[in-house]
This record gives sequence, structure tokens and C-alpha cells, in this order.
Amino acid sequence: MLRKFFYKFSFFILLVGASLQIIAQDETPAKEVLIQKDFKSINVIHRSVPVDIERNQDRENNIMKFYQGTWRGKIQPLHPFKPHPVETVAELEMIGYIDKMSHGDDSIMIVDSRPKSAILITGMIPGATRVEYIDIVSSHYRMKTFELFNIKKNNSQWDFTDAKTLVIYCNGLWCGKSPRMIRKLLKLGYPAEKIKYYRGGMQAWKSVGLTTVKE
Amino acid sequence: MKLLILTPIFAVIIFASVNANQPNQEIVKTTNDNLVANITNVKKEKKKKPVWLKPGVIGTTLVIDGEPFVISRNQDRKHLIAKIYQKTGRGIIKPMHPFKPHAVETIAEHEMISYISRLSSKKGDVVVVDARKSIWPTLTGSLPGATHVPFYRFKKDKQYALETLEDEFGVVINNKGEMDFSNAKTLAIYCNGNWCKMSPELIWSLLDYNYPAHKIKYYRGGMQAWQLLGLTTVD
Repeated sequence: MLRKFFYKFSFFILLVGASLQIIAQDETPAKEVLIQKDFKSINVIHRSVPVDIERNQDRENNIMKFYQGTWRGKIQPLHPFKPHPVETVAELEMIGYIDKMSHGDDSIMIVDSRPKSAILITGMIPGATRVEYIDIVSSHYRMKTFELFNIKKNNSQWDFTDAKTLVIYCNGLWCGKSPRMIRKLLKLGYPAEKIKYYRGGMQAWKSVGLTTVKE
Repeated sequence: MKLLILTPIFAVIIFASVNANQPNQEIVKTTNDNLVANITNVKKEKKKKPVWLKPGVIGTTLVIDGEPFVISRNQDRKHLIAKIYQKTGRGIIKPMHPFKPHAVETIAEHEMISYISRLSSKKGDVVVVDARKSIWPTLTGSLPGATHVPFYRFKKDKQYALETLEDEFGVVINNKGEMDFSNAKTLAIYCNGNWCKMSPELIWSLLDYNYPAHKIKYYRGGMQAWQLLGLTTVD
């Protein structure tokens, strides 16, 4: 009885098997996730180690849990430092600055203004240096930090002529850490044209799936 | 005979769908549990700090279509961004000022809110434009008071473009087809986010019609940044 059944329906059983295989194989090759048209990745240097900046190629990838919440902080304006001409930049300009810096331009510095704990969770943008608010406020740390920024002391006055161009970011457009730091820098007399504010921050960087590195 | 061959395929499809449905039921159960948990949490957290719009400001009250309307952020501290905006692999990244050397200004949330509040003023010189394809507003909602102008229709359908320019944007077109932009309204245009090409496309085609660039504002953050901050949307 059973054998008869198999003989009768062997064709269908084969067909089912074949169609199952077709379903399993039917995966169209995914389109590449690009930064710009014809621009997939860029090689930069983070702490003298080469890193490729590119977007996450998995189309199903979601932004990390840490940045899914909607309640944090207060919304920052697009130009919080008016009338100071501090430029607000976005991802592509940021990548441009990192590219220039890692190709030997010493006059640019990417500054991560978040504490160590946040960087442990999210990583940092390749090429960035961690400088916290306290490193600028307290006179004890300020000497070291301003040395990093290439500022010299002339007769107990800061000389900003050779100061580096700072591209400062923090968690995102609701985060007050980098605006606070930029305000302090402006108060100390840092030239506003040499400060760039990446408003989107780590959240916008992650929300388009760009590469991050550990400190 | 054809039907006979097709039946096993149908059977496979039904089998697969039944299999795929089973884990979903579990998810539904867990979300129900979460809902209950959330409600209890809200009761506990009632005395917690509010979610701020600006320092000292929780929400702004506007008048839209004659009715008061409050724009504020979602006060629930467990609220997450919509699933559709968690994806990282969409589009290509737009620069901060994509329309250089045209003087199209890039704006952010505070400017957008002030433009929305100007919608109901007597002058009526502002239009908030949703440039996305027509399915997107049904998926994600849109900004309060937004006018929906799909970019592809504006680009391809010249009749529609001229009608919207005349009726919505306040452009005067005479019999010869010459356009007078002296009373043209200020357009605050948005789409999905900093990776989305829909509002840039609309702005480019507006610039092709010689629309004055200083009257076009580009909200680059778009719906993603709006929802990322938990701001109010309407269906």
C-alpha cells in the first residue's frame, strides 16, 4: 500500500524537493551600500594603523540599541554659536577632514568630547582624539591639551596663530558636550574659523552605518 | 495537469508560511508582556524629569487649521525610534550644503518648528513640503501641517508642477507662461533623512524653474531626525 503510494507520487515528492532547493538558492546578490556615487570606502589612519571607512554592507543592519532611545538631551540649534562663525559640518565633510589629516595635514584634529565610558560603548570615529571638557577647564590639564592643539604661551598669553583646526563631535544633535566645549574654547579666544562642529555626532555616523574604531 | 504540477509548490508555500508564522506569535506574546511592563513603569516614573525641547521648554503650542496643536517630544523614556528608521543601509549620504553655489539654506529642528508655527500666521508666506513618495507618509506619518508634493510627479508631470507652483507656492504665471516669483512662498522641504534623495531632487527641479534659492529651506535631518528626537508627527 505504502509502496504504491510512493510510486504514484514520487514525481511530486521530487518536485517538492526541487522547489525547496530553488527557494533556498534564490538569494539575489545584495546591492552595495555606498557613501557616495562610485565611492564605497576610503583608507585613513587611526593611531598609525590603517582603517577603511565604509558603510555596513548588511542591508538588514539596525542602529545599536544605545542610540534607539528618543528621550535624551535637549535639541541643539544648527548654529548654536551665532554670531561666532563656527561652521556646522556633516558626514562627508568629516570624512574629508579625516582623509586630509591621515595624508599628513598636521593642522587638523578630530576631537571626541565624550567621556571614556561612552566611547567604550559606541567606539569612536577613526582618527579622533579624546579630549574632555575638564581637559580645557582646569588649568592643570589645559597646558597639555593646548600643546596638543599647537597653541604656544607668549608672555602669559595664548598665541593662537598656529592653532589646529578642530572638528568636534559628541553623541548627537541632542548632546550638549561639544557645544559646551566649543563655548569654552571661544571664551578662551580660540579663533572661530578654526572650529568645526559636527552636529550629527556619533548617532548620525552610526545611523548611516559608518565604520567606528576602539580607542 | 498544470494545476497538478502547481499544487506541491502551493503546499510548500503554505508549509513555509505556517512555519514562518509560528515565531511571530511568540513575538506578539512578548510585546504584550512588554506593554504591560511599560505601563507599570510609566506609573512609577511619573515624577521623573521631562524630556526637553530646549532648555526650559517642553513643548510649543501652535495653531494648525484653526485648532491648537502641541509639538513636544515623547515623554516616555523607554520610547524607541520607529523600526523603519533603525536601518543603516539606505541611500547615499548627502553633504551639508548639496546645492552650492545656490543659496539654499540647510535648516534644523528649531527652524522647522518656527516655520510650522508661521504656517497659521495671517501672511501665509510659508509652506512645509513633504517631498517623499506617497507611501512614505502612510508608513511614518508626516510633520504637522505639511503639504505633500511627491518629487517624481513634480519632475515628470509638467501640468502638475505648474499647478502646484501656482496654487500652493504662490507663483504668478501669466498667459505667455512667464513666472513671477515676487510673492512666492518660503518652502521648508524635508524627506526621510540625511541619506534620502527625494527632497534634493525636488529642490533641483524647483531651481530648474528658477525658483528663488533664498526662499528654499532644506531640512536635512528629515523625518529620521524628527523621530529620533521623539517629536510629534501626524498621520
